[in-house]
Amino acid sequence: MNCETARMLFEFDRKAEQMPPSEADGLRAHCAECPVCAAWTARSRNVDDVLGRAMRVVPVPDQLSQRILSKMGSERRRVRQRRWLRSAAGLAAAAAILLAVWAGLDWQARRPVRLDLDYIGNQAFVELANPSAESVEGSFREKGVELTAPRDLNYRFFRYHGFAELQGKRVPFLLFVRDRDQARVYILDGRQFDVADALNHSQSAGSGCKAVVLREPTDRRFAYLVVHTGDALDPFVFSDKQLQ
Amino acid sequence: MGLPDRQNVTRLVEEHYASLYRYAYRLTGSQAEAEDLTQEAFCSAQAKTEQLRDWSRARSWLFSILRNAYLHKVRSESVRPLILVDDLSDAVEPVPVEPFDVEPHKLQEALEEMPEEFRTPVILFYFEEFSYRDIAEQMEVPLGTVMSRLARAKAHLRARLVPAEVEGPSR
Repeated sequence: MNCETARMLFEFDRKAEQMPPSEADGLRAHCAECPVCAAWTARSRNVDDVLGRAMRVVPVPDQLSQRILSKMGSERRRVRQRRWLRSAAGLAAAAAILLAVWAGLDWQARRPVRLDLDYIGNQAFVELANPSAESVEGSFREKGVELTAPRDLNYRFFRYHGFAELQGKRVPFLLFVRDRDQARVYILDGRQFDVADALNHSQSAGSGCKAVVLREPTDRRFAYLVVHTGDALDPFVFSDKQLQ
Repeated sequence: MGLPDRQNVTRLVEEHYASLYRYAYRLTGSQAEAEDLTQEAFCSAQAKTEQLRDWSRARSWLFSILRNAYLHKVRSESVRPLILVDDLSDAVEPVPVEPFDVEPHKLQEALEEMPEEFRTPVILFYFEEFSYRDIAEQMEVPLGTVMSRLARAKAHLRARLVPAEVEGPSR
């Protein structure tokens, strides 16, 4: 080993480098034979020891670790709070969007609707031209309501169908008119009204009108509350039918 | 190995806060700044625990975080060293024959005269636990660059701090 190699190896002769034992032995052997390198390495090691000690002699402030841990705790809380605020902001934004959509829909619903007289006239003509239980059912189906219209009534006297409010419920109803008498037929759905109970209270009378509840023979889900003028419902019923 | 709970975080602080503070002090020269930097480094480490997979590398990892925090601060404050890089030379080193001492404030002055890229390797070198490879990884530079900067930084410290009885032989 020459002096140049020895001085290069000396740079790695420190604990952190974990120099291989063979190289450490080689360096020592060279210094044992070369007084110049021996003196140089000794002085360099002395300087490094002194500078190293001076470098590491830094007084550490009292309670520093506690202050660090306290700061880290505050930072954890701050991050948690920021995450919570971000979530809250997100929820608030979503709520604001929903509110805006609802307000828009509500405004749409409240806006006065332009009358389409042609459509209304055509619809009325279709309803009156060839009315039947089936055509009435089809018309309600277009409005999203499935029902069974009464088959026993004579649709020659049918005048109108739509929705009415009955004891707080929105109920499909039909209007029949014969001469000066009227029959209003409310189609009762078993999911809205206690139909079985209504059947037990048929034929109540009052205010010049009569009310009768009829059962739909083909579909037990429905019953018909018929409020009519006149003494009997017979004028509105097909002659070959009987009231149920 | 991550740091899933507060117990591990406390252990990290207790084991490394002193050496991290000393490093921060040697970088900044100020007790207050060193304490701020140390706290900042640990807070940053707390948020990045998934990066630490090997507990034995914790010190090196923390030193790296602290150095990055220091550099970020220095760049934003535009602090310039007193000595330019080109003036750092490793040509001749005065080598003493008698025992000598180094005054702590003179050491800090000599350190602060150097640019950070020379100050960091020499501080880490004299902290002893870091190999040249560790220093190279922390600074994200090649090993040869570390050796070169270290040689020049040590030469500067020796020129400033070590009394010379004789001019020693050049390398």
